Amino acid sequence: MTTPAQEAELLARVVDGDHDAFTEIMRSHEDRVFSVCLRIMGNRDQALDATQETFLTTFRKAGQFKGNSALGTWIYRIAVNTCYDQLRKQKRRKTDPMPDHLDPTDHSAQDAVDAAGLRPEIRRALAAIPEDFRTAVILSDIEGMGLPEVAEILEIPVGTVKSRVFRGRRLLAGELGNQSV
Amino acid sequence: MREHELELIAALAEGRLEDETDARALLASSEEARAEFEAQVSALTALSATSPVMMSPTERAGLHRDIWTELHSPMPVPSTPSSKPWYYRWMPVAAGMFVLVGLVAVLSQDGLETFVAADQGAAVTTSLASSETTDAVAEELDGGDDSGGGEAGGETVTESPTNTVAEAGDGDASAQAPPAAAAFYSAEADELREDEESRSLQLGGLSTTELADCLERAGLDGYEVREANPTPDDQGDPDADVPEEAVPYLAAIPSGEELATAEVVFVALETCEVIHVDR
Repeated sequence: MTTPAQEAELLARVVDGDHDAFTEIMRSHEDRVFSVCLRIMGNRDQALDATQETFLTTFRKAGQFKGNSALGTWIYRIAVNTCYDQLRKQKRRKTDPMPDHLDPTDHSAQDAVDAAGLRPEIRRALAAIPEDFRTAVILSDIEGMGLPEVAEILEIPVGTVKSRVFRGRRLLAGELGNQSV
Repeated sequence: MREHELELIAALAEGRLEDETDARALLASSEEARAEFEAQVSALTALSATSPVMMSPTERAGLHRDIWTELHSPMPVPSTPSSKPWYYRWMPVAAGMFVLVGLVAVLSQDGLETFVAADQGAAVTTSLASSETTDAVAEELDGGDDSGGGEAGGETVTESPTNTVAEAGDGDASAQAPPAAAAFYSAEADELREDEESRSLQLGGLSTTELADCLERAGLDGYEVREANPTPDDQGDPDADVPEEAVPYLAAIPSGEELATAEVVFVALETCEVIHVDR
């Protein structure tokens, strides 16, 4: 695990155009970024696109990182916002307002189920709860991030994260219960 | 249930408590607490069954190839921070708006239109809900220079941006927006409060970063967004009575407060200025 000083030094090298430094940053965070993107997007191709866009944004904005948070937290924040942006664009483009993996009635999206590492009923239940609650639950309970880190990523107070996770789980349990009826 | 009771239930469900006595006593004494606990455990159990996900070697190689292709083709250089903070651009506009709102609050409860028309020659619109106000005030102060850079047109700011909501709340909040729009926002606030439990968090497809930035620019530190509506005139209900003066907005409340009793602050999405406060 890199220290804040090492992270700052790496980013300084990236700003100077050192691609080896950027490669090191990518290799340290690409797996988790991809995992976060895949849980949110539910589709491997879209998750790879979001991951690519995340690192491109990281490179372009390397000079704007202020060091107020850990480098990984900053990158995951970019990843979450990139996924939100892509989901928003998808909704605008498609005549069907919901992407396949977010349509709880789309039982044909079995590939997305396995690809996202989620059982079908969990995928459908997650898709049915509000986006903000869903993201909080994904980051906290699936990705295993601590509440302070989730709060930094989502740029909301820790209390709000606790509330969203608690209510997200409650809604998720309700959806799972409805599916079993 | 109280917040600390919900936290206790969550901690018990997550297995974080060294001493479960208080939590178990709570469950024993409250059916609601038992129901909440069971929901938390049910969700956590289901989520624990998720599988880790990894890129395949092919996917990883393709990702790296695509990134380097993009980075190598027009020789991109990481951006460096601008010499001046972003808010320098908006300081002249904020200064003008604070002075205008302060004068209105002091001089008249309902004479915003009369005051502006009489003393300014009606060059500035009276509706804070209109984006034209920002441009007009910017022209008044900067002589048309909207490049920012901190060169205000002679006006100095003495009020802190955090005074915005307090100033907006002085007197009649409907003086901020035209009466028809104010009534619309108040109705939206009532609906937000009434449907707290069943209503999903509607952000209109906007990212939390954008909304957080807008809150910050509105001077609403310590507030959290509860709703964003970029298309208030497209409610999906052909019978919805949306006044023409209603603009795209976000609605925010003080963090940590109960929505049912909190003040709801409406901020125009285009200008990130407070347009209505509902208490």
